[in-house]
Amino acid sequence: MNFLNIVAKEHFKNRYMIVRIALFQLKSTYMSNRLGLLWVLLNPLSQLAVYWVVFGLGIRGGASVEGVPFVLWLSCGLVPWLFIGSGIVQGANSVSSQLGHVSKMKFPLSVLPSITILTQLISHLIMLVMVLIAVVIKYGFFGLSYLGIVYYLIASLSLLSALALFTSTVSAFVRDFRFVIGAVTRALFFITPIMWTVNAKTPELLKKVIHYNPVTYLVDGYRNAMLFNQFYIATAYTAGFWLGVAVLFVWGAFIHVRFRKHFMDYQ
Amino acid sequence: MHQVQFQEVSKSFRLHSSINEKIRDLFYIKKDFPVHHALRSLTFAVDQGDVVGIIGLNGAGKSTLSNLIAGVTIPSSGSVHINGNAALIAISSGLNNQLNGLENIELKGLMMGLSHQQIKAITPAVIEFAELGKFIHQPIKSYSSGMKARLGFAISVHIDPDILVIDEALSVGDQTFSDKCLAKINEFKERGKTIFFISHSLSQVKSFCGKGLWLHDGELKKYGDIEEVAAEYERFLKHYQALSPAERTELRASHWGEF
Repeated sequence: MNFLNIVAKEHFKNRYMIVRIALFQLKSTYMSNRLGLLWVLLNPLSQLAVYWVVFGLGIRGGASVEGVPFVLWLSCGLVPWLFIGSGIVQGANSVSSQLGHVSKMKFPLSVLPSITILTQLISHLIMLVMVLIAVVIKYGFFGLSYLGIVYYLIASLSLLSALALFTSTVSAFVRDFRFVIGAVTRALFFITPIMWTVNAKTPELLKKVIHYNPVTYLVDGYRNAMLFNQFYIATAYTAGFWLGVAVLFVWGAFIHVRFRKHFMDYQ
Repeated sequence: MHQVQFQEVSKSFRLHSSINEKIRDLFYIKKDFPVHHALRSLTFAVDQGDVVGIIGLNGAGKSTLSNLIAGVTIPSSGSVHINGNAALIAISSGLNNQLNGLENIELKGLMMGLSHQQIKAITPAVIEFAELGKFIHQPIKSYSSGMKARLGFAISVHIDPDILVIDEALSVGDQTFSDKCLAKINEFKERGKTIFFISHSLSQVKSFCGKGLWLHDGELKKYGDIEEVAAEYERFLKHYQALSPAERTELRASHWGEF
């Protein structure tokens, strides 16, 4: 289990660097634009507008979801999804996209995926605060169930970090892998109830797929905590989720440490 | 105790003709791939304070050697012992075009393993050395290539490593820049740091280094006093330049028959 030790040590030793470089990445992505960091909000807002018009007004005819206006219900699912979806895609690219910058120095390579996920987390936090403000204006302050937001945020972060360690190593060697990741992520978006709801007409098999999709666990969790004053995690699903994350992390750390010495030679 | 010790170090690259071969090789599925031996069984030791000039033709393995000293890659076989921290002066790596000069100093410093305090301490000296003036607050995409090179060199050199590896770093800027860099490297030399200097300018190597290490097709041809090594290398160059292109290829590929 020495590889776990290596990954943990590199993260602990370089915690300051990880945060600073993530901030620099965010800055270099947005600061060259006229509107700067505002795009962190404008980008998801434009997506929200499209889904709202097409699914909310077009398909649902403006009907609310369990008494919640569709646009608000959609926002509370879309914001977690944007974090998870872009975390999966960017996380898989994290080594191959940054390797060139660190190619001529001794760099603790296991922090590369974490830097990328952290960059995504910062934009997520900005969006999350905005949505939460809208929710509080509409429904008032729920209090304790907001702990659920913190829990699901940590759960998403853990899943993404563990996954990125694995996927970034694979796609450093097999560039085609990022297309697979792209396709899977697109599919995940539609088999998670983000802009539509499971109802009586949904086939049993699809219901099962949706239920066992871990993204459903996260998105539904966020949404229940924000909109329905619910935070209940004492389920078998929770145990299964964390077991999965742990296995993924051990596996990811193992192949990362085993193969990373070849990163530079396989560039 | 030597500061840098190479014990029968070899580095070879497998020449994969397809991505499938690459992946199979990664998973240790045995198949005989053609191998390019970048370095073969190098054994040498360098003491603290030595200034070693690495010379040789293109493709002799000089950059592979510098990567091994700096710990950027690992040997295929043999052992490399480095006492202290080694840094490769890589002028453009670790710089971000969208960020300004100051931010880049912090970014590259962090990537090279400096703490927040260390970066704060070196920043004024880096700014002064790089001579960027009012451009320090501009994104470096607006810099000329000379300005970028000055900044990159200034950061690398102020990291203050025990062992400095300089791989053709001085060939990018103008004369004033390379003179300034040489002066800075001389300062390192006087402080008793170990330096590896790779350059195609034999006169620069001779004036600057105490020892010479001549690589030919991945093998250590000669290692010792710079005067002797350089003299022999010059004799070889004269001979080499008199050859026809076909004979040159033959000479350089004299080891490639081992496939």
